[in-house]
This record gives sequence, structure tokens and C-alpha cells, in this order.
Amino acid sequence: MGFAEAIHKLGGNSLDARQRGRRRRLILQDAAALLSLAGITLALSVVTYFFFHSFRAHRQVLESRWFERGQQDLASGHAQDAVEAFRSALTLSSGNRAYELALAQALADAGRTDEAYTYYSTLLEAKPGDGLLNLRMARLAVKKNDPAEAIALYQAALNGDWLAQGVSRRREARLELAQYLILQHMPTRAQEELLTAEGNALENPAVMNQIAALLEQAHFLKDALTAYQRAQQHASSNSPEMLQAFLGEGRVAKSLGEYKVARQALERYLIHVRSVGNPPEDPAVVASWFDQLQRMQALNPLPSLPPRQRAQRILADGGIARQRLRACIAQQSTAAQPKQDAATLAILRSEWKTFPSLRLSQLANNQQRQDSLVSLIDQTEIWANQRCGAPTGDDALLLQLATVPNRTE
Amino acid sequence: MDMEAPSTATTPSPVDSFSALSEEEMRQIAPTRENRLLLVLSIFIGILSGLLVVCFRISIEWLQVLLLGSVPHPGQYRLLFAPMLVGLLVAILVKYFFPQARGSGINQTKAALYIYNGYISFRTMIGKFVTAALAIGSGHSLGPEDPALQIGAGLASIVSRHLRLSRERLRLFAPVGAAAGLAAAFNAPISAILFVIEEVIGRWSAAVLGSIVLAAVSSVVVARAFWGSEPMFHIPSVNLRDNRELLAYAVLGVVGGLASVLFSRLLGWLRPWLRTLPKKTQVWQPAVAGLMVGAIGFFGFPQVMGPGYDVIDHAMHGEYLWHILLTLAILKILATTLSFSSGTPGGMFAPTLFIGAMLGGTVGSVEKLFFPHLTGSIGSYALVGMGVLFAGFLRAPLTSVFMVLEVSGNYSIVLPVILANTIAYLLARSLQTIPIFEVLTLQDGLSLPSMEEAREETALRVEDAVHAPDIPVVFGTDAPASIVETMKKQKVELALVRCRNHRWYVLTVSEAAKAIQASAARIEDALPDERAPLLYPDLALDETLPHFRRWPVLPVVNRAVSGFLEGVLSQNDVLQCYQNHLQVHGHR
Repeated sequence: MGFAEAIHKLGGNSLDARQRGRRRRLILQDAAALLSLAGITLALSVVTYFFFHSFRAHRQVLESRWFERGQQDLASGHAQDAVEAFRSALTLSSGNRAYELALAQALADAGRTDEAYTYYSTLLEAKPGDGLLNLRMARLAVKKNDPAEAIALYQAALNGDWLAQGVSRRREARLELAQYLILQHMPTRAQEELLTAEGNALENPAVMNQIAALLEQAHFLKDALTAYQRAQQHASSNSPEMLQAFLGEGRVAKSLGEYKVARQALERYLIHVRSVGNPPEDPAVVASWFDQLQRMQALNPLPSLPPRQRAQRILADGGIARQRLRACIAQQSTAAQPKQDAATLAILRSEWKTFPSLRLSQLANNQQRQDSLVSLIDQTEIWANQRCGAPTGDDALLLQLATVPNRTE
Repeated sequence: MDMEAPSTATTPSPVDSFSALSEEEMRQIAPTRENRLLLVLSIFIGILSGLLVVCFRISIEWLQVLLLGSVPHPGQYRLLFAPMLVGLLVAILVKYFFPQARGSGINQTKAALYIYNGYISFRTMIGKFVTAALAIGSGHSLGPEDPALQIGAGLASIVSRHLRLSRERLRLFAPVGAAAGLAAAFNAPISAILFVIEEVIGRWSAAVLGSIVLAAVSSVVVARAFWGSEPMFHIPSVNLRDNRELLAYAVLGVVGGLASVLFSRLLGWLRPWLRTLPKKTQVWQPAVAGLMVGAIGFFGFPQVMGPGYDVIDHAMHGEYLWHILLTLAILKILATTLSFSSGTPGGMFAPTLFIGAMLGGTVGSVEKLFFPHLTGSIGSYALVGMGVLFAGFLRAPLTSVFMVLEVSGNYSIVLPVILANTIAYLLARSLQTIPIFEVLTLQDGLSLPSMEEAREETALRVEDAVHAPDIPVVFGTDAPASIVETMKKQKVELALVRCRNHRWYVLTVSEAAKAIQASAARIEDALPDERAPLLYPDLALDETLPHFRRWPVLPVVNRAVSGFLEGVLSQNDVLQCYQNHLQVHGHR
């Protein structure tokens, strides 16, 4: 349409007066209709706004009520009820992360492992790098007795995201993994995890004690001893952590045959325990361990002792061991003995035959004889332990000395 | 038809009732008025529909809290009584106050479009709002989308009547409102637009597309202002590491297709059977259906009550094991069949999505049991399942794909969705030829156009009727006398003249004789300026019909080589072609 034509039409010049009047009325009516529509829209917007927000507020009250109920149920051990409560909260607030995690936890606590596992899997698919989810799934995999999956999930948890306190949470997950690896008879992998954790927890004596205990459990005694000693370096004096570290050090050093270190650790424990309110171990018990160590020191025929003193200890230990052998033979006489056992016994008997005739002066001058007697004492205690059960008293201490690979003071 | 529809004869003419001006007069005094109003009104309709749908959904949720408690749990007696008593109330309201509010809303909107000139009364719209909110809020297994569609269409009808738009515009506006209502209910504008085009209008129409888009977008903007722009469901990205995994989705397509057929057949059987019962029982049917649906909830599965979007979300998050998911799917089919067949107002979109999600979750869970390495999550299977049922049961294949993409906001799922939906659609169509909306229409004694048939229809083209020229073909430079000679020789009354600019003219004997009388050296000099229309072989055959009034035969030319004659076409050829087609494909 040309410009002139448009102007012409706009002005309605082609229309007669009656039509122009109608046209004007029509325009006014349309304007009024559109204005009334705008008014209706505005009024409906206001109504909808208040309607919507009043419902939202009510819904929020309901969802938090369900969530609180679920938490109470979970805390009081009613996990089944908690599942329903959390599910209800989620119905009212779909996608709420806290509710989802709570529901998953409730499912797991209720023993609905498969459901919990599936639910966690779905949550994990949405956030595959979530450390907490991976950790919880790893625990479920442990429950499901799926070690490969559990270890993989623990590893994913270690590499995953932790929204807050990432360092400490990763460390906790690592210690949990190490504990699981120990239970799965994978001590070397456990040791790797524990040593990594140790490197990240040097200034935290509580965690260091925990790591040391796990290393001890995995039979990495030297690493455990070092960890306990490191814990002592950073623990404040007279703190429970310090006592724990002394106690652990004493125990591990004793197992390693480092009796002097063990004695010193227990001694320090007994000194510091007086100022700590709630000690990790009863001081009377620790005192008895300390006495045992003292006695063990008196029995220990260390090669570094002066020859005469060493000979004296060997003769005393020999008397105890010979007595143990006699008692054990008397106890075993009625029972039929296996052939191999009889042979060992015969050797032991023949070797002990010459013992009563031994003189202190002779033995003190014969280093070789001393060593062979120490070996005979060890063999006798070990044999008697196997045949006649665990010994008590000095025999028990001699047995401990016999089983320590490197005898030190 | 579900409703006691007003006959076309008694339907008040919108123009008559609102103005003394006739349509013709209005067109004369304000010829561009409607075009100008159209876009502004589309936006208003979109915003108002959005607001109404927000109110509608909040009403449903409030009613759910009031009638069923904040979250229904098995063993609550209110689960039995609420749907039963509200069912009775709704039946009374529908019978005595809002007879046209019965049923889903999609067929009513189609009927308004095709039978009642776009007329939907204010009473119907209010009735639909109130009765559907009550029914769905009390736990009947129905959804809010189809009523939202009808509410939107009703609103558009009221607004356009108020502004005294022409009959043609009134018809156009009902689908515009329908798209707005559906878009707000789904928070998915593309799906709503496609659904209205696929299922309500049945064809792409440029006249209405702009308005539909504007209205849908406006309503979604309003809905998102309240509910936020987050997609309805969240699933992680689907990363198909191995294309063989598509087989797992194909299995879902097969399962979904079969379930669609089962659902359709159940509805197709129960609904007419209930109608054969004495008329006085009909007021009790929603109450009985409500009691039965309530019993399902009371005895352990309250998830099937209401639309169930929260349950779909739970399923997508892997909260249910496969046997629970399967049970929920079966019970939902049962509950929805009962609720819908009883005539309770409410839609089938949400239940369809629910069933699909549960079946998808089931298939996903079972497949994960046997093939734990599959990369798709249970959520992704549930989502694809939704699309599968949408394609198989509602028979809207294109909408089903976009619906899944929009409600999840996740494009990574597109391949599995297309594959599974196509399988479900083809399987359902082969086992159940008539789509569910058409089944319902036929049960109601109406004859609305079948959109699926329209899609299937093979359009006849010019190439189907064209044949080699059986009249002389001459050049514009030829002498008129020689042309007449040729025509006489061939004993024909017509000749095709190739003129300048590669255009053609159909010459009659009398025109040639006049040219001789005028002593024209070349026939072209004696011809008028007018030329035969340009017709190409790929054009729809019906496009040729208007030209036969002027031209006895029509030349058909090549699109690539300008003016190159492909053949000719007469009116008789066209009619013959249509008759042959009818013989081969039969009557509709």
C-alpha cells in the first residue's frame, strides 16, 4: 500500500459520515476493551501472587515439619518411619539435597540396602564427584559384601568434592578405607593409605594416634611406633592424646622387643596420668605392665651384658624353662604324642641333661655355650607353649623374649 | 461428545450478540483492525492463561493438602472418603451446572474449533476449573494439563468474543488459548505449540502460528515467574558410550507401545460400557471410581492418586525398586481408566507420563540388573518412558520428543527418545489403528477430523494427473494461419503457444481466427498480455482447480529449465485422478 493511500485509509476518507462515526466508536470500544483486559490481568496477577505465596509458605512449613519428624525418627532408631517422613518432605520439596541425603541415609539405616544403593546410585549419577555420596555408597557396598566396589567407591570419595572441611573429611574417609583394607587382609594397601594420611596429619595428635593404632593393627609395628612418637611431639602435655601416644608407644615397643623404650613410655604415662581426668587406660593396669617389663629386663640375657651377669641370668632362666619342660612332660605323659613331637622332645631332653652340672664360672667364660643355652631356653618355652598352652609368670615373659626377633634392652 | 454440546443452530452468533455491526460492515470500516488486535490479544491471552493455570494448579495442590493431607499415606481413611465424596459432588456439579466440563478438554476444544466456531462459554471455563481442581485434588487419577488447555481455549474464546472478532478469528483463537494453557501447565512452550498443531489444528497454518507462539511464550513467562525456570525433571546427561545401548531403549519402546495399546483398549471398553448403564447411575459413577482409586491408595499405593508428578520425580531418582515401579504402572492404568471412564473432569497427560515413567524405570532397573555397565541412569529410562507413552498412547510423536527435551532440559537424551518413541508409536498404531482421542470422539457420537489420518493422507500432486500434450504445441512467432491449419489437421480446438519469457498461452480456434482477421504476422502479437499460470509437477493437485474456469487445459512446466513443457492437464484429468485415488485408497 502506498503512503498516500495509507493516509487516505487512515483518515477514513473513503467512508461516509455515519461509517466514520461508527469507526470512531469502534476504536474507543477496542481501547476500552484492551484497558479492561489490562485491568483484569493486573487484578488476577495480584490474586495469583498472594494465592501462590500463601500456599508456598504453608508448604514450606509442612516440608520442614516432615523433615524434622524424620530426623527425630532417625535419631530414635525408627529408620522405617524416617524413610516415610523424608519421602514426604521430598514430595513437598522435590530435589532438596538435604532431604535426598537424609532419605538415602534412612534407607540404609532401615536395612533396605538395595533400595538405598539404587537411590544413592541415582544421586551419584547426578553428582558423580560428590565425596560424601561416594563414601556412603562405599559403606553400603561394604554392607553388600562387595569389596571391589567398596574400595573403588572409597577411592572415588577420596578424589571427590567435599563442600566443607575437605581435608579432614578426606582423611576420615582414608582411615575408614584403611580399616576396611585391613579387614580384607590387604595390609600393604592399608599401609599405603595410612602413610599418606600420616603425611597430612602431622600436627594432629588425635589423628596420628588413630593412624598409629591402624598401623599397629596391620602389623606395621615400626611405622606405628614412629606415628605414636610423632603424636607425642604435637600433643600438649597431660592431654589424653599424649597419654594415648605413650600407651601405644609402650605397647608397640614391647611387641618389637624394645623394652627400654616401652618401659620409658609406660613410665611417662604413669607420671602424666595423675593430671588427666579420664585416662585411656587404668593406671593400675599400666603399672602392672610396667612391672612385667621390669621383670622382663631382669630375665633378659642380653648379649651386651657383662659375661658373668649374663651367665647368671641364663642359669636362672634355664632353671625356669627346665621346670616348665618337666611340668609340661608330666601333663602330656598320658596323651599319645606324634612322632615328630617325640623327636623334638627327645632332643630337648638330651640337651637339658647337662644343665644341672653347669657352673657359673664355666658358663661365664663360654660365649658359645651361653648362646646355645639361650636358644635352648627359647625353644623349650615355645615348644611348651604349643603343647601345654599359654604360660604364666616368668615363663610367659621368657616366651615373649623368645618370640622377639631382635632382643634389645 | 462428553458434553451436552449446544447445537450449531442454537450457538449464539458472537457478532450478533455483541454488536449491531455486521462482520462485513466491520471489515469495511476497519479493514486492518483484526490483524492489529491479533498479536496484542495473543499476548493478553497468554498472560491471562498463565495466571489462570497457576491458580488452577495451586488450587489442586491446596485441595490435595486439605482433602488428603500433606502427603497421603496408606491406611488413612480419608483416602477412601475424599475421592468418593468429591466424586459425587463433581458429578452433581457437572450434571446440573457445568455439563460441558465433563472429560478431558482436548476433544471439547477440538469440537469448539470445528463445530461451534470457536465458542466456549464462560460457564464451561469456570466449570472446568472448579470441577477438575476438585476431582484431581481429591485424588482422582487424572491430570491438570488437558483442563488447562480447555481453560486457555475458553479464555481465548471469551476475550475474542468480547472484542467482536470475526467468525474466522474466533475459530483461530481457541487453539491460541489452548496452546497458552498447555504451555503454562507443562512449562514447555514448544511442546504446547506442537501439540496444538499436531492434535488440535492438524496442520501448520501461518495465519495462526505467530499468535500461538506469542501466547505460549507469554503464558510460560508468567508460569516461570511463579515456579521458576528450572525444568520439571532433572536427570544427569546421557552419554552413550556404546551405541548398542540403544537396544535397551528399543526394548522400552516395545514395552511402551504394548502398554499404550492395553491402556487404550481398557479405556475403549470401560467408558462405553459405563454409559450403557442406566442414566441414574451416572451421577454415582465418579463416586464409585473415586472409592476404588481411594482403595488402591488406602491399601498401599497412594502414589497413584492425583497427577503423580512427585512420584515421577521419586522414580527418576531411583527411590523405587523395579517391582514397585511395575506395580505402580499397572495400578495407574487401572486407576486412570476408572477415573476417566466415569466422566470425572480431568486430563490424561499426567497419568500417561506417570505410566510411562514407571515403565521406563522398570525397564531401566531390570536392564541394570542384568547389564550393570549400561550408562543410562534409571532417571533417563523413566524420562524416555514418558515420551514413549506420550507417542504410543496420545499418538503425538513429534510433541513427545520435544516434550521430553523440554521437561528435562536435557538434549543428550534425544537419540534414545527418538528411537523409543518411534518404535512405540509404530507398534501402537499397528495394533490399535484408531488413536485414543478419536476413539473417545466416536464414543461421543461426534465426527471430528482425525489428525493422524490427516498426517497419513497422501496428497495428490500435479505429476499424478499430468500427461503428454495431445494438442499442437506452437511458437509465438508462428503465423496464425499455419497454426489454424495445424489445429484443423489434428482436429482439435486448442493449441499451446510458447511465448516470450518462456511463458505459455492456451489458444482457442476462435482466438486464432481473430488473429488472422487482424492480419497479425505472428500469433503472439495478437494475444492479450495474460499468460497461463506457472504450474509445476510437485504442486498439490487441488491448486490447479481454480484455474480451469479460465483455461481449458493447463501447461505444466519444469522448475529447473524455464518454460520446458512437462505435459498438460485438463479438469477432466484432475477429476479422473481423484476418482482413481479414491478407488485405490477407499473412503475415509
